[in-house]
Amino acid sequence: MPRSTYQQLLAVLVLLAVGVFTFLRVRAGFEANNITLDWSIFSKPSPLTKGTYLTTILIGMLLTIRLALIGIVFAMLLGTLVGVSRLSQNPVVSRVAAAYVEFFRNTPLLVQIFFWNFGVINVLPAPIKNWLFDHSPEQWAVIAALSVYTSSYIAETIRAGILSVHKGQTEAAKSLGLSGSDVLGRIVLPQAFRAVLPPLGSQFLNLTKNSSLASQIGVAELFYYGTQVQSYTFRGFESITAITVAYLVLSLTITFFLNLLSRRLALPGR
Amino acid sequence: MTVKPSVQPASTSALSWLSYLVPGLGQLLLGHTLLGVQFLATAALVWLIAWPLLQSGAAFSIVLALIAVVSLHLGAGLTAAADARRRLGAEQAHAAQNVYKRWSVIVALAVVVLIGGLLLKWIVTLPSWNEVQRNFLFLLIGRFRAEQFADQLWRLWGFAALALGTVAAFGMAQLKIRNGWIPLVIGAAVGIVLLFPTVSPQVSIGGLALSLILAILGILGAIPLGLLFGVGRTNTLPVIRGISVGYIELFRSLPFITVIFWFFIFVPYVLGEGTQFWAVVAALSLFTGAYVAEIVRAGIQALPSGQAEAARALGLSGTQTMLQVVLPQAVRNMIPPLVGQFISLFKDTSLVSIVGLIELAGAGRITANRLVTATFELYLTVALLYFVFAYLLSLLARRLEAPRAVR
Repeated sequence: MPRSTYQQLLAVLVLLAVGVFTFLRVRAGFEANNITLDWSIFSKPSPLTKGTYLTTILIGMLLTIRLALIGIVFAMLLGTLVGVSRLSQNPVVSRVAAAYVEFFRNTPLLVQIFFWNFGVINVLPAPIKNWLFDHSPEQWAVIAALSVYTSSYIAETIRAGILSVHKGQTEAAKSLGLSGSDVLGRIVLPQAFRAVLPPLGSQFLNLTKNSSLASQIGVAELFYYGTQVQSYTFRGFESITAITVAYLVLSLTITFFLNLLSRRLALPGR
Repeated sequence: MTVKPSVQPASTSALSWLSYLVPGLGQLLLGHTLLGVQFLATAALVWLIAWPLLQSGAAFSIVLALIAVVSLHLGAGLTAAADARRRLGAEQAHAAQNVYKRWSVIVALAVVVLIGGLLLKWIVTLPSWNEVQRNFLFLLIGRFRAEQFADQLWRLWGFAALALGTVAAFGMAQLKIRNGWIPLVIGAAVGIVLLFPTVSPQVSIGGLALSLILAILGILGAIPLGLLFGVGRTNTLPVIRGISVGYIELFRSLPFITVIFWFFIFVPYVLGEGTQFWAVVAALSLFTGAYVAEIVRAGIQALPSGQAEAARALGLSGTQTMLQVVLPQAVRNMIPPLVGQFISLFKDTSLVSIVGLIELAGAGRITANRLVTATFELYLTVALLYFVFAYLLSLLARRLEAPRAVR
């Protein structure tokens, strides 16, 4: 047999050894604590939502997707605005945009969520506060935190995209008599977006994963429902497995569609 | 739809003075829609803030509001007037450009000063800063501030050793002295030896100090994992590549919060009771390791393939090629993104408060729940503490990236 076969066999053996060791230790631990696995809980009726516990997980997935979609819309709008401002010829504007990016990129999302939920909502003027209290304030806090946090990454991506558009494009558009806003909106940005589609896509994926932090302030989404299933059924292993599989399905689906999209929209010749 | 005339009629040009009254109106009439809309939007913002201020009677606010309003109207008017003269020739057009450049900066500055000043004044005069001050030490070192640990406090000098090692290594790199890694390793070793008893067998430290310790232990575990699987992913053998891809993709598709849950529940079964701290470190390492592996792969692939081919042609084995030729060169490209990944890891440590370790975010949460009143001030402080460290690191990463452009 060639050497490469031995190397591959060795890798498989090491992996198997680690896996078997972990499995045996976990099984011994389960036996010592009288834990048995029972997957049938997912077909039992759930007090959390209508249907079974499986429906609860699926509803959680839908809520996560909804949160991610709302978040990405605001994050794209904010991110484009800040990204364009960072390249503004007005030094004050570009510096304010840079400060925004640096501040929100360098603080953890969880702290930002707490900050919006417990800090900012407390100090808002009374009428806005009252309106929010009738319209699930936690959800708005999470949307604010998610979109501001992600927008600081998107701003950097879009800035890179704009810088990657050849200068001749702007010059040609200007000499054709297009106004400043037309040059940006019709010539530069469409090319910039298409150039940075892959990194933008990974930001969308990050936002979807990050939305799991919403569970920490009690916003109902996938992770929140997953942990609720655990506390209703006392089935830790089963519910964390369900959460993990659900996130894997979400991530892989999003990755698949993003690849499809970037292949269709990619700039020719790049 | 009307067609814009190529030469502005005199009557419209004369109307440019309207911008002194309503900023942006003159520009709109002159056909400069973008400038007009910009000035109009700024004016709406400024007046919305300034109007209640002017009636409030507080001297500080009135001065800020007046500065903003005056510079806005003056700027809009002067710019419109200069724009109206644009048609008189190239010199006038150039002058108009300069007027716009100057006044757009002045107006933006005035708006920033207005909003920033008000925000700063409001934040400084918030009522509960003394509560934050009283709990500040708790945010920094957690329970470690208690009486019972007083004789252990000297261990915090470990952070000084870490900082000294990092600064020395960075300084040596800047001065182009070789072997900069030696002070880094010595500093890290001394720091870890001093600080280790604060987290093992019992976690007695908390707050920012614990966040930093977790981040350092996490990256120490993540780098070997990243090297192993990053190199594995570039391997030609399908099984080794498959295992590496599986590991990387699995951990990159999951939110960190699920990873930490898995480890928190199952590591105690594997390693025995009382290992929650190490479960968290393992979760941080394995999660970050997947991202480090991608950095390693990118660093290796950025290297011209001629390097590896030449090494093989000289008769080096695959392992020798990787260890002696490819990796030493690729490491240089990996360091800036690695620092970036370390910043991410430092931010990710905020999630371990979910499983009961009281690091900075956890300490902030506990204090906020106890105080109830000072939540805004408290979370702002916590965010700023994270920001200071992460920002310093990102400046470092940028400095490390800079020489590449020169080389």
